[in-house]
Amino acid sequence: MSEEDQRVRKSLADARLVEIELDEFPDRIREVKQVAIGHLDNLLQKDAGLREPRSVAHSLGTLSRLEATLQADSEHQKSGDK
Amino acid sequence: MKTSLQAVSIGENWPPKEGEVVSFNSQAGRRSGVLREVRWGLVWRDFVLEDGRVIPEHRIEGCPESATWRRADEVSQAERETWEERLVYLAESGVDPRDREQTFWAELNQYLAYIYLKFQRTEHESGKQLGGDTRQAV
Repeated sequence: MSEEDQRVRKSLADARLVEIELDEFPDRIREVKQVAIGHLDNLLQKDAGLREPRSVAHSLGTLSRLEATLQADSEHQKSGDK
Repeated sequence: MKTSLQAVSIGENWPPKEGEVVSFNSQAGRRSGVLREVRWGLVWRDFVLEDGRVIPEHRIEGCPESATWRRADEVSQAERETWEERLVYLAESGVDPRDREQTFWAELNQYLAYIYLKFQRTEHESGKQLGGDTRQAV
């Protein structure tokens, strides 16, 4: 395995993104959103045109939709358990 | 004689073939199932079992440490968007919050890993181009 591959795997493992347990998904989504927001902010400051910021914004929108859907499911589940 | 079920010896003939029995560890303990398909995700390969469970390659017993992963820049924007649409569709169709081996959770795990690598990497590379960035390298 190349050094680059090892670095990538260590990075993902350190971010706890290789084996996400069910109860960890909300936190991991939030953290990855922060990474995407940081990247988008950087692109906007660099005046990087429209294409890439738009693509990052699209991914951010996906993460937000997933986060909202899972949260609603979780609340629904809790109310059903009562 | 041709057999449809064959045990997989650890470290040999990787990856296993369709129809072979593979074992993996889950929160509930050691489990096994019949391999239906091996397919690439955004980062690593997933093993799809006959009963629909989806297990990442690195959790399958006998997976070599050097199992190949994709680079984030190998994934086209079209592929990423297709993956995103599918995830949203699956989420809105209803997911089982207790079944970690369901397709949705496997695909969401890969998506989060991919987005992290893609955007962290770009940040790091642009930091290097600017001559200095104290963020952790990936």
